[in-house]
Amino acid sequence: MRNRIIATTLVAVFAGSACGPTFDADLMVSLEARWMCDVQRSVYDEVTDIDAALNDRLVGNGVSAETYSDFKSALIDDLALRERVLAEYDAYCDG
Amino acid sequence: MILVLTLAMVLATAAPALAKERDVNIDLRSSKTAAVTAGDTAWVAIDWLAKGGDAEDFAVEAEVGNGVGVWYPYKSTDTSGSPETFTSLMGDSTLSESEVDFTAIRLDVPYDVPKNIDLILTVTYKSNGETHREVFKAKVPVAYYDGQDLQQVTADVGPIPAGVETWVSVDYKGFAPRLDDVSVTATGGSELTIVYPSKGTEDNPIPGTFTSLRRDSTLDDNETDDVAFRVAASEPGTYVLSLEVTYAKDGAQSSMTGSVTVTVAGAPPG
Repeated sequence: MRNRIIATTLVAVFAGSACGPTFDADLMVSLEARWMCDVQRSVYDEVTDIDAALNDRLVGNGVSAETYSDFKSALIDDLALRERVLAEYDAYCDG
Repeated sequence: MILVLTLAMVLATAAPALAKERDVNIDLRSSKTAAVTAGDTAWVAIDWLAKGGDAEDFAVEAEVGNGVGVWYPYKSTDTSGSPETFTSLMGDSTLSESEVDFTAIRLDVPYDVPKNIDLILTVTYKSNGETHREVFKAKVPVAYYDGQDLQQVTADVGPIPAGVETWVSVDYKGFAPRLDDVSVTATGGSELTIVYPSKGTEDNPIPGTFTSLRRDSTLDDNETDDVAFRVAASEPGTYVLSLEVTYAKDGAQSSMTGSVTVTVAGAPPG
């Protein structure tokens, strides 16, 4: 019985690591909130400069484009995660 | 027991359908954009928030007075490169509940505009199967550039061979937001021959009297472009050419003078 519990736990851990978020949520929430606020504080010569500015932030924070893409995908289905970004956005942008 | 569980499952399944569909509220997060410079062209980002539900097919059309032009991002699916007639969000076309995302628009701002421009943003989106339309107002603050219009970057050219018409180019860097119809004339002594690019047409073969920028006739802020012309001198030596660059800024003609030193080496062998 004990072995069965351990095996079940291991399966759950592996399953969780395979399907769970592949990003540091605290970092990504902070990064996203600041980016969404700061992007409207600047003007850009070309529309591609907006993407470049985001990329600079990602690189500066050691975040890959794939990780950011994973985070944006997670936001679509995760209201709690969006509300975390919004709370940080409000604190940073309106504070 | 089974009956109770079944009843609970039925009620749980039916609950969302019975719940009243909530209204979505769209919130424009800032009443003003970043400041643009009079005479300049710039992309600005505008933040939006959805509250109470998801706003699908989110689209924004902008309307600006004072002669300001509005452009939207280019169609990603259109190989002709024509712009959209609206702008959507950075992430996708849905502004989910509690999500902050932005739209981008390009503003072509004339020189002669007031220090705050009215921006009317018409948002359309779908929620609960219905299309909604809301109108928001924001301000675009305007800054005014008051500095040097442009700078001649190239001070020396050559060495070029004696006795041969040789192309030389002179770089200019723009500082003002936009300078139109930029052209340059060069004046040397009697020892120098200057030939401009235009040879006229076959019907009217009159050579040009000036040279223009290589890329186009406009010099934007922080843009460097060059003018080219041919120079010939029969004798080796160092020559100083006077240059006059003329341009239109805010519809008014302006000019700036400068010079470039041309080094002419010995004639090529043969």
